[in-house]
Amino acid sequence: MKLETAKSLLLIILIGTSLILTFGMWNYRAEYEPLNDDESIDKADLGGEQKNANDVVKPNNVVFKINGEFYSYEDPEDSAELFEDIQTWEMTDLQNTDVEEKTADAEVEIIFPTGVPLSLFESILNTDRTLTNNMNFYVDRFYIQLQEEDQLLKVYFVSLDGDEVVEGTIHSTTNYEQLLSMFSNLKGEKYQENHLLTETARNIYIPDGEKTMQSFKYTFNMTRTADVRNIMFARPNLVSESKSAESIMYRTDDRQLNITGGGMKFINVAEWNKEPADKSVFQQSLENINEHAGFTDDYRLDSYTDDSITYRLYRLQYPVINNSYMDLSTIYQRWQSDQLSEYTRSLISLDTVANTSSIKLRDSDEIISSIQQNKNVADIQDVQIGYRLTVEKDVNGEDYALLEPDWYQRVNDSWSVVPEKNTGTQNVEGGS
Amino acid sequence: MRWSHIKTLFILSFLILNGYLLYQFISKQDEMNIPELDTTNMDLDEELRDEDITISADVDFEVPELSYISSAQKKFTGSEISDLNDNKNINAEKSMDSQLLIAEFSSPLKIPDNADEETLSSLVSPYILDSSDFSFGAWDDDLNIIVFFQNKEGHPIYLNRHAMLTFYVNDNNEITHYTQTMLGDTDPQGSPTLNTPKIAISSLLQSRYLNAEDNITDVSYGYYSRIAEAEEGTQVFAPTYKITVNGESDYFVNAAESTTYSGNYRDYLVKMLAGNYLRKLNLMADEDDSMADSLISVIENKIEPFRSDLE
Repeated sequence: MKLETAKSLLLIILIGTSLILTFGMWNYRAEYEPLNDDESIDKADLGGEQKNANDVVKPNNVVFKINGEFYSYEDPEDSAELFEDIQTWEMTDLQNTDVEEKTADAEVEIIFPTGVPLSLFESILNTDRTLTNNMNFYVDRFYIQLQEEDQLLKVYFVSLDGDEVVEGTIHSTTNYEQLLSMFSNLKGEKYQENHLLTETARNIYIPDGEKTMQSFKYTFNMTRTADVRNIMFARPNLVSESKSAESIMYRTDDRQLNITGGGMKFINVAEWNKEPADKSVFQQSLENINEHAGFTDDYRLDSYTDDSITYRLYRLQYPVINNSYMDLSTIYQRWQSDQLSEYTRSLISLDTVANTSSIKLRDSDEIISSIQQNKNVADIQDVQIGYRLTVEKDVNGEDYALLEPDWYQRVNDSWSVVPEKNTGTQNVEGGS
Repeated sequence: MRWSHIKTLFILSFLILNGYLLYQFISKQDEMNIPELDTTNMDLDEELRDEDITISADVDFEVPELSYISSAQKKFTGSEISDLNDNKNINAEKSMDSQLLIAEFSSPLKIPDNADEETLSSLVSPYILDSSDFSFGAWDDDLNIIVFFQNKEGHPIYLNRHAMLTFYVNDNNEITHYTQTMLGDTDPQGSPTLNTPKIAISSLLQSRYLNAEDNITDVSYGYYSRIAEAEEGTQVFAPTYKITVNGESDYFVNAAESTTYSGNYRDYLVKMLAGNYLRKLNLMADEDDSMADSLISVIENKIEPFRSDLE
């Protein structure tokens, strides 16, 4: 009997210890993790979509050239659609060639907002091999020529400095026929004639005539400042916060985030390592922005340098321009090796259209003569119709965003309204 | 009895189960506990030996328990200035924004030959506001400027233009002027786990600041900030190791995040004087302030040879 009680006791103890051990193993992780990080943070993001090079590198003009005349689509949506088609066309026989001589009468010119390394086109076009190994080969447009005798298409990339040309071939009668049928319809109502400007920094095409467009009044949303803080600082509990009426400043010993008037400016002066990064700045910026779902709208590549990238907001295929202190129409990142050293961006996202009205734009002749009269005509990189974004209060004191179409010119990578004819600087505003 | 057999069976099986669980538990504990610290320490020792780098400083001290702190600049008051002016040997004034105190010795203060840090401190302390808050920082031979750092929470704020005593020494080894800036009250931010001094040294190695045959002569800690801010701004200071190499160059290593900076005192001082102090002095000089005028010419002479280096 005594032995039996001892056995029962032993059994209970054994069951108890096995329970404790199991429980202990279960919980061991939980004890460990807090050591790793000072506090667990809700992973914040900006709620945008994941984007790749395909989504952000898009042309802002497609021009059909035949017999010295220039045409483009009336509706930029059609140009976007055509480019999407072209992206699927199979380009083969890629090779360096001598500086191109125009051999065909009909040619399509596809123009991008900024020069990018040619190698970038490998990821947005359907090519069978690398386009170039030359990292300094920058292009801002490419050409597709219709070769009548062979019923095929020739593609040309000409470097910005004009020194190098890469050509490719699209061996597809279907694609050829598709372009050919467009050329035979150029007089139709879907197309408009263009005027070519050559005295500018690059060739610019201005559609003829007078356009009437809509201006829009949008409601908009603003990202919560605490979310932005948690994205930009790995350890929010180390961050000092100072607030003033219009702005909020987060700061640590080497990082600073200023949120003002719907935009943010982040700088990081930390010095990490001096190794050059193995990815391009463009790739790094795409990954970084995707990490916090930062493409909150239709943002497209607008400027590309060795260490910085700018994306611009597009609405209905037109660029949006806002020249306020915090630019509400762009995302800008600067990188030093593999470290994000500067990040400036809009934190507003346009929501619903509250109101529209029609605006008659200045006609093309007026724009062309204004450009030609400009003393710095040789510095003008681009002329486009864009939407001016301004944030205003309506009668109820509610903020709303106004998008008004106007003619814009680009000088030194910054956009400004094409000046009114003969009125000097009077109308060179760009929102506030 | 049947029940007694079953009990014995249970006891046996639980013994086996417990043995297994214990084994699992211990191996799990081992796995988790392989402290990264140990491995890096081992790697570090090896790497240092490879590069022939020696550590003569004491690096085995307890990891300090410091938090991040934030502080804004202090404004000097009129009564503080007049207290200083009670001292016959100096004339003191403050800048328009009250953040910079300038003082001139009526007869320059001779620095004894071979003065050490303590001699210097006791030499200047009678002429200085809150002198106990400051400790010797560096003596830059090129500029012939001595700086003292303000202490906060018992530790120095390294190389910060808002928390610094600056003595301007002439060619006869005499102090003619000094300027002073101070931080106000501090607020603690967060207190992360800090790295050991050895890890700080290994980040220094990784960021390629150490060369073969270097000797690490001193490791101490305090606070450091990289973002020098606008006049009204709050600065955040991180717990930071100051690592001295070969007794001459100082490096700052953030004790929580391991970011490293080389402490180039001369460049910092030239930038600070040219970009910040001179601007304030010029504002004072515009009001026909003769002391500001003379200090401007002293500073201009000192930084003249190095100004072009900045660009």
